[in-house]
Amino acid sequence: MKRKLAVALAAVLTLAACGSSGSSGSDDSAETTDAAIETDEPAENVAPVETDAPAETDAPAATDAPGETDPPAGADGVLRVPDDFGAIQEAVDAAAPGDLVLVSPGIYNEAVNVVTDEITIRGTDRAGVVLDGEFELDNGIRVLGAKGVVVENLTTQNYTSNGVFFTSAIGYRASYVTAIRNGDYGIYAFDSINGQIDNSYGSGSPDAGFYIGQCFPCDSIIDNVISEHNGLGYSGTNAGGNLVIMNSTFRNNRAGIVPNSGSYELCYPERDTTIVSNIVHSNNQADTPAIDVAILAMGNGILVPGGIDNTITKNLVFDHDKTGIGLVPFLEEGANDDLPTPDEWDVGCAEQREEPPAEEIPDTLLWEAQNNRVTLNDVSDSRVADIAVEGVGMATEELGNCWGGNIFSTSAPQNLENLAPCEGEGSGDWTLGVLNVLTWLADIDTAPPPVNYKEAVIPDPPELPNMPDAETAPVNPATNIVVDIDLDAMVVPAKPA
Amino acid sequence: MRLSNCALAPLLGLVVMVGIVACAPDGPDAYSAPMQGAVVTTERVLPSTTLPPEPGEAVPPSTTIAPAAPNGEVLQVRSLDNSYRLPDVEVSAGTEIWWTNNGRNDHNVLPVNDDDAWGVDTEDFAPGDEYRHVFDTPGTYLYYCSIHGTKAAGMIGSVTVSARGA
Repeated sequence: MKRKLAVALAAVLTLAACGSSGSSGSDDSAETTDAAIETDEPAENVAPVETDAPAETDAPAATDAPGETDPPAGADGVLRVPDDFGAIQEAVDAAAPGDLVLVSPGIYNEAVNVVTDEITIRGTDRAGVVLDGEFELDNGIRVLGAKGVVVENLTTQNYTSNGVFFTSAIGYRASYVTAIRNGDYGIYAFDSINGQIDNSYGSGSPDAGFYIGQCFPCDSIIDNVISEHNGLGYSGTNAGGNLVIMNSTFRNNRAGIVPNSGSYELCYPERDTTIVSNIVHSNNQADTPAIDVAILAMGNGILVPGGIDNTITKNLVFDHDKTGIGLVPFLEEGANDDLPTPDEWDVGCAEQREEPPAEEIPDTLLWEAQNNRVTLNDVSDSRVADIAVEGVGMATEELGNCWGGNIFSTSAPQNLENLAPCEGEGSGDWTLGVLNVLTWLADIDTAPPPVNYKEAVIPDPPELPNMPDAETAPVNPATNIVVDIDLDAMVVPAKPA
Repeated sequence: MRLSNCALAPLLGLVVMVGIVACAPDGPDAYSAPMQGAVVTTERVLPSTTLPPEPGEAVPPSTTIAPAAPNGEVLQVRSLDNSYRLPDVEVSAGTEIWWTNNGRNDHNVLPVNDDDAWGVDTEDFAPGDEYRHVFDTPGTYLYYCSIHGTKAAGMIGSVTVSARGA
């Protein structure tokens, strides 16, 4: 029986390792396109004048002193688009560290690349400043190796890859950003550390609304975001180490929060992510765009395929077709290295990337979910089990996961909190009411196919707040992100009306 | 991560397993079998003369040494999401570099030197695809993935080719 289960689960989870169709068509269109700004109200784009001096954007006054011209655009550290610069990219290219690129309402058909440290790109109106890729451009804003860059108070939509993409960034922040209908991720932080994503919204992406991957320690936080109608609400491959996902809502995705391991990115395994005080519900959404993993993970609230040392606590989780909180293995086909041993779990990302892969690489890797703590969550209305665990290569009882203080009705195996309590010795029969992922196969047979992200019907975003005082607030480059959460002070959120 | 070509097709019982194998780029052996004569280096620090150039700056290979014939050696560079592994390799002239897209994202391999005639674009380098090129002239060849990097940052790599026997 155990062998059959292993084979079946392997079948299920291996699908996730299959290659991409590349259908979303990311091409090498990294070059910035000419901006086409569409705004019906250019008069309102004139920056407020707060001095006695003529506005810089006004027509130059006649003067007999040719040397006494207005200061160059951006001399005050604020580069206004479109008043001073016709395109966001032009302003970004002209910006120096510490500058603010302040964007007025309009539609900007640009793919903006940022390579300058510590600049801030801010819209004056979150819903009105729209970067639109028109399903042709790859990333709305791509921050490549620049430190401390901030993106604030704007919308990115219809990009073939990502709404906002931070890569190899030390220090980053995305605040009050709306990312809709992008081909990979809404907001994507890769190989980046010391970051923060807050007060943001992601919808309509086949992979995840929010993603943090390939970092350890990440020293990063996702706080107060809404992710809905994506393949996955959150995905985080090989991320962890003081990585916190909190105070956020993940709803109506195919699956909610899915931190995962795999050798297709570096810095494996996924470990040490804290998921706290989130509302995770109704992640059974059949009509979303979806990558393969999202299809397989569908119907789960918080699912940890092959993750290690994670803390899942004080979340409100309800209404899922499979599990509310599930710890499951992940079988990766086409491996790129051998499995890290436990003594390698603490190896930092910087160190691991210097190492060559194993000389002999197995065809597959079986990532087990180990040493995770699931405590004090309120989990209900799960059609398979509110809390669940399954091991394949290892006996389930030997995985080192524990549970305690959760409010729940069903578990797989039965009496899970007695079998593996986080405090004290466990006891009971691990063979009663096992998760039995075999049954998931039947669901896969009838799984709703993915919907093209360009065509998926997604709801209009809810009322989303603007960044306070966007016109005048001083810049705050992301050079000071500190993630220091007091878990004792966190609470289970109230159920939404 | 992106949607697989084969994610939805083979979904029945054991057929799933068969379908999975078919999803692998070129069969498991293509990526797991030890390569004959592979030369792997763990050295990542570029020589001082090969610092990444400014975007658009050409890196001329040596023109003083005659091109070498293929030497039968093959070195695999895996394109993961979103980095090349290993990113910086040193080989002797005539070695074939074998890039494989082992990630879940599209990638490409583009020479930093726009005048170079090697490289593979996105449409031919989806997950599971491969690209091979024999470097027969000593020099340092920089490359990058334009989706996940620029010519100087992000997903970048280099092939340093030395004269045979050097």
